[in-house]
Amino acid sequence: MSSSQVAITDLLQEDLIAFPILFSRQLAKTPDNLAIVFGDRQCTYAELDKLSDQFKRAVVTHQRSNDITSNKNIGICVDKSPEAIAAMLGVLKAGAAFVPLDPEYPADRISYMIDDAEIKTVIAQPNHQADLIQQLPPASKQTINWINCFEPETGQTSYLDQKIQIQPSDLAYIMYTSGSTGKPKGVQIEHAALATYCYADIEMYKVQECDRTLQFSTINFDIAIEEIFPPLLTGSCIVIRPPMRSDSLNELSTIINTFKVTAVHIATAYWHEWIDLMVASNDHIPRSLRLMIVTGEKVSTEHYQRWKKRCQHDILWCNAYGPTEATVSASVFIPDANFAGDDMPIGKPLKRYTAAIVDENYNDLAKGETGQLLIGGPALARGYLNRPDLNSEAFIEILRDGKTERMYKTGDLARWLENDDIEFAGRIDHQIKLGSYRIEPGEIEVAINQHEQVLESLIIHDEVDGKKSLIAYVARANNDISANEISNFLQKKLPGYMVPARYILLSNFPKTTNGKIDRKALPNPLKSEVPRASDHVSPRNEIEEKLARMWKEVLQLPEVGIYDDFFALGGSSLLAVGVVARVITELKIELPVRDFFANPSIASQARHIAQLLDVEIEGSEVDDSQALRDRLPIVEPNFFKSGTYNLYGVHYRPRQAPRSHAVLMCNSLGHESARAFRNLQQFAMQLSGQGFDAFRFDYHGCGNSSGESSDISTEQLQKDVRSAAAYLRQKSQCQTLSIIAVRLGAPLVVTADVNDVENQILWDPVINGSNYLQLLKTFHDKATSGIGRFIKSRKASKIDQLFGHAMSGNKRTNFEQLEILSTQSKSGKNQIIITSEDYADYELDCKNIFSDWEHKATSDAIYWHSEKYTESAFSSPQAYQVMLSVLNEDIG
Amino acid sequence: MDQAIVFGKYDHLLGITNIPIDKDQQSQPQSVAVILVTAGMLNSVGPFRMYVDIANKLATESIPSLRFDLSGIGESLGVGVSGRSIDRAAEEIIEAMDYLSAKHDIDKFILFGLCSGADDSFQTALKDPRVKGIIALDGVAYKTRKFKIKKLHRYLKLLMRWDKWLNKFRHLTSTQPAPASLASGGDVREFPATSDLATIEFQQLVDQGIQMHFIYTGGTDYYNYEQQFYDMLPEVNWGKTESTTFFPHMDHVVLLCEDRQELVEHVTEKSKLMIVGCRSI
Repeated sequence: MSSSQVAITDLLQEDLIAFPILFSRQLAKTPDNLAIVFGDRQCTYAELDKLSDQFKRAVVTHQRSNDITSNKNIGICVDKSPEAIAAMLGVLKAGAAFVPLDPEYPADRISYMIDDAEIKTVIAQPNHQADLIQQLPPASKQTINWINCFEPETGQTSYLDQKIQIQPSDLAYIMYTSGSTGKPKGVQIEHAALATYCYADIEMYKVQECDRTLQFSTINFDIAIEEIFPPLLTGSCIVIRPPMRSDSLNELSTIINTFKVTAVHIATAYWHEWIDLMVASNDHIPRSLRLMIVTGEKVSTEHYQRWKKRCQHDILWCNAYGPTEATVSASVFIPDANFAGDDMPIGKPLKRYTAAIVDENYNDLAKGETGQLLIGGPALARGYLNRPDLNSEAFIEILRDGKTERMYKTGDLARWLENDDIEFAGRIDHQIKLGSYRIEPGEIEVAINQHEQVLESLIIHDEVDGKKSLIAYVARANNDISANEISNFLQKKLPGYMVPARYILLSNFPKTTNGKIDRKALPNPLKSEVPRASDHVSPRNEIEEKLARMWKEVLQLPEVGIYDDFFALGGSSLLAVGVVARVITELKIELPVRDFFANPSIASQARHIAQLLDVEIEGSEVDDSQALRDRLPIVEPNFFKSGTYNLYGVHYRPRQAPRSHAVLMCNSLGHESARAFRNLQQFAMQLSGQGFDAFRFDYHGCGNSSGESSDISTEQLQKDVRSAAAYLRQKSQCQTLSIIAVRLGAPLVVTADVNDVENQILWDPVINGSNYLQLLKTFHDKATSGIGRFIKSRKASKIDQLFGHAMSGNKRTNFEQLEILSTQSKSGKNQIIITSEDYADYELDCKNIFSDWEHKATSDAIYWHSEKYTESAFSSPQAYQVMLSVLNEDIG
Repeated sequence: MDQAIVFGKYDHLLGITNIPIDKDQQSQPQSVAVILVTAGMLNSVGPFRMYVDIANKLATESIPSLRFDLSGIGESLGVGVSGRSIDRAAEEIIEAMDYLSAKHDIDKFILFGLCSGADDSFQTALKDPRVKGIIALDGVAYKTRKFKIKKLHRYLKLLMRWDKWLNKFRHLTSTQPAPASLASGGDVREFPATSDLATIEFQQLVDQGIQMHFIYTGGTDYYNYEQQFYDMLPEVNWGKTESTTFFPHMDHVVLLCEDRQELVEHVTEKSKLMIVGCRSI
C-alpha cells in the first residue's frame, strides 16, 4: 500500500554494512567528542574505541583458545554502564554477536538462553558472574569462559592485528523476547538490519552531533538499541542513567536537568507516569529536552494533551511503533500542532521500512479496513534462533507490486488512515503488551503448570484506571494451594514483570465442545485475588490505602499488609526516605524521618498522619501497636562475659519458622561502628523475619560494654568475638553459625579462630590496621585543624586520641599489627567478601589477599574514606540482598 | 552496675540501668535518678560514648541512671504512639520513669539530653511533675540581635583569611550532592516554634520550681555568646532555679576526649546539685 520513499542520493551515502566499520568512520571524524557520560565518568569516542578494543581482544582470545569458529554468540551480563556499551561494540568488532542477559532474570531463563544461543563466553560484572555461577546448572557453567567487564583480559595482540571481516549479513545481536511455548525466543538481528535502523532513526529524529541521548532502558530491551547505536554514528553523546537512583520524586526530570539531556526514548507506561507526576507537582518539561520518543504501548491522547500543556518550548514528540523482529521501531507518528484525536496513530514507516495491512489471504486492504499489519524491509530480523517452525509462520514471502517481498507478521491489527498514517487496532492473538514488555501468556502458563498441584492455567490481562495487570486462572488439584504459593513458585521461574498480580483459583476450567477453554464462561477478573500471606491485613481507610500504594511502589512489592514492618519487608533507610518524600508531596505534611522509624507499619503511620491532618481514624491504637509488635522479633538484650569484661549484646529471636541458623554480626570500631549501627540493626530485623537468630554486640571498651576505649587490645577483641559466638550458640541452640564482619571487625573475625562457621562474610574488610589508624588520623587532623567543627582550631592535647576515641601506645601497636594475610587459615566453610562502590580504590591489595574468597561487588555508596561522611549512617540495599542470598543457601 | 532492660507498653523499648549498690547500707537508697535521653537518630550510647561516660561517672557518685532508646531509634523497636515525635518521646520518657518507679522505687528524675534529647526533656518536664530537673545540652535557643552582630563580626574576620577563602572555593568546586544512600533524611528540631510560646512554657517550668541548666557549645549555628539564653527570652520572670553555661570551644557532639571529660564532670556536678535541690522541692 505505502512505503517510505528514500532519495537515491541518501542511500548512496548510507552503507548498510557492519556497525564497527560505520563506527570507525564516525570515530575518525569526532575522536574527542564525548561518547558516554555516566555520573561523574566521561568517555570520548577515542576512549570508547580503546575500551571496546580490549573487549574485542578478550573475545577473540577466548574464542580462538577454545577453537570456536561458529556460533560466535557472546553473553553480556552487565548493568547499564560504559563497560556494557564498550562490550557490545567490542563483541561486534570481534565478528561475534552479543546476547544481553539480564542479571535480574531467574537462573532457569538465563540458563535456557545460554544453551539456546550456545554461548561459550560471557562478559559479566563480577557480582553477576558470582550469582550466575551459583545458580546455573553444572552443565551450563562448566562450559562458559568468563570475561570480567571491568578487566577484559588482554589477549595476544596478534589477534587484534588480524583483520576481521564482518559481512552485512553477519549476526550483530540476539534479543530474547517472550515465547508462547514456555521458552523465550531469540530474535536474530544482522548488521545490515542494525545499520538500516540506525540511519532511519537518525533521519526521523534529526539526531545531531550536539545531542545527548539518555540511556534509560536495560540492555536486554530493544529500546536500549535505539538509545545506544544511532547516537554513535552521529558523534553525539549517550548519557547513561546514573547507577544510584535519585531520591527525587521526579527522577527522570532530575536526570535530564542534571545532565542536559536532549533526547529521551521511553516506554509509554513510564511516560504516562512521568506526565502525571509533572502535573501533580506543577513541573514543566526540562528545558534541555528537544526530542521525546514514546514507544511500546498505545499512547493515551489525554496524556498527550497534558504533555502539551507542560511544554514551554518546542520539542519533537514521536509515537514510535515496532516489534523487536524489525530491529526497533518500524513506524513513527509525529502529531501536528493541532492534533486532538481520540486515538494516537502509529504513523508511517521509517526510511527503508515497508508496511502492509492485509486480510487472511495477504491481500492489501483499502483505507479504513482493519487487517493484520505486516512489516518489511532490510531491517527485518534473520528470524528466531533454532525455531524454524516459528520462522516459517512469522516471516513470510508475499507478492506485492509484482515483486516478492519478505515480511514479518506482527500479529497486530491495524488500518490505514486517509493521510497514510497507520492506526493500531489491537492484537490478533493473545499476546499481551505490559509496560515495555511483550508477553506470551503461554510462557507463563507453562511455568504455572509445572507446579505439581496445578492442573491447567490461563493468563489474561485486565486494565483498571489505565494500568494493565496479568491475571492467572488456575485449575488446581488441591484446594490447599493458595495464590500466594503459586506467586512464590513463579517468582523463582519468571522475571518479575511476568508474575501475575492477581489469581482466580478454580477446580476445573469451563470447556467448549471441542475441548478448548471457554474463555467467555470464565469468572469475571474482578473476582480475582491478590496473593497474600496468611496473616495479611488489608488497608482499612484512605490514608492506609495511600500509604500501602507508596510502600508497594518503593518496595516494589505486589502487596503489603497494614501490620507488616517496613524494615522486615526489605526496607532500608534509603527507601524510608523515598516513602517520606512521597508522603510530603502527596499528603502535604511534614513527616520527620524520626517519625517514620517510630511508626514503621502502615497502621501506625496512618494513625500518625491522621493526627497531623486532624482527621479521625477508626480502630484502636493499642490494638494496632500490639498487632505490629506481635510480628516483630523477640528482642533480648543482655550482658555476657568475655574475660573480665561485661559485653552488651542484643539477640533478635525469630517468632516464626526458626531455621536453626544463627548470624553473629561483628561491627567495626570507633565512629564506623556508629555509622553502621542502624544498618546492622535493620538487617538483624530482616534476618529474624526470615527465621534467623541474629545477634549484635559491643566489644570491650566500646558502646555499652564495660572497659575503657584506651585499654582495647587485639587479643581481647578476638576473645570478644569467640565469647559472642559461644554465647549466641548457647543461647539460640542453633546448629549453624554464620558471621558477618564489617570493616575492622573483619581482621578480628578471621584471626579469632571461631570454629565451625558456615559462612564467613567480610563486608568492606580493613586489611591492614595501620591503614585504618592512618585514616582515623586524617579525619582527626582535619576535624581539629579546620574551623568547620570548632570555632577555633584545636591544639593537640595531652590525651592520646583519634577521632573521638581515646588511644594508648598499646592500642596503637595492637592495631598496627592487625592484618589479614593471604595465607590466613580458613575458618568458614564459605568465605565471602562483599565490597561497596569505592572499596577497591583504597584496599589495593584486596585481590591478592582474597583471591580464594568469593567476591561480591556491590554499587552501594558508603564512602568509609570520605571525611564528608564520618558521621553519616548509610543504606546498603545490594549488600543486604547479597548477604541474604548467601545465608539462604542453607535451604538450597 | 549496668543492667540491660526491656520495658514499655509493648516491650519495645530497650535501655540500660545503672543502679549503684550501696554496699555499706548506711545511706538511704537514692530516690532521684538521671535519665539520659537520646540525641537525634543516635542510640543510647551517645556520640563517642558520651552517655556511657556520664552514666559511669554518675555511678561513682552513687547516682542511678537510665539510658534508653526512643522507639524506632537505636535498639528500640518502632512501635510508638502516633503524633508528633516530641510528644511520643515524652510519653516514652514517662514510661521510663514508670519503670524506675516500679522497679527501683525512684520517684524524682533529672533529664539530660543533647540536641533533640534536650527538646524532648523540656517537653516531658511540662507534662510530668516527677521531673525535677533538666540538663539540656544544645537545647532550645533563639537568635537575638547580638547573636547576629557577633555572627557578622565573625564572618568579617574570616573575610580577611585568604586560606579560608581558598578552602571555601575548593569545597564549593568539589562539592557533589551526597548519594541517596548516605542522605540522613534531615530531622526536624521541635523546640517551641516561637519564642513567645517558649516564654510561656519556660515560665511554667520556673513556676513549678523545675531546676534547669542549659549548656551550649560552640558547635551550633544558633548560639554564640554567654548571655544569649537570657537575652532570647527577656519576658520570662526567672527565679533561682535556672542556670546556663557556654562552652564555645566544644563542638556539638563533643568529639575531643578532654572536652568530654570536662562535660561529664560538669553534668555530674550539676546533677549532684540538682539532687540536693530535689530534697527541698
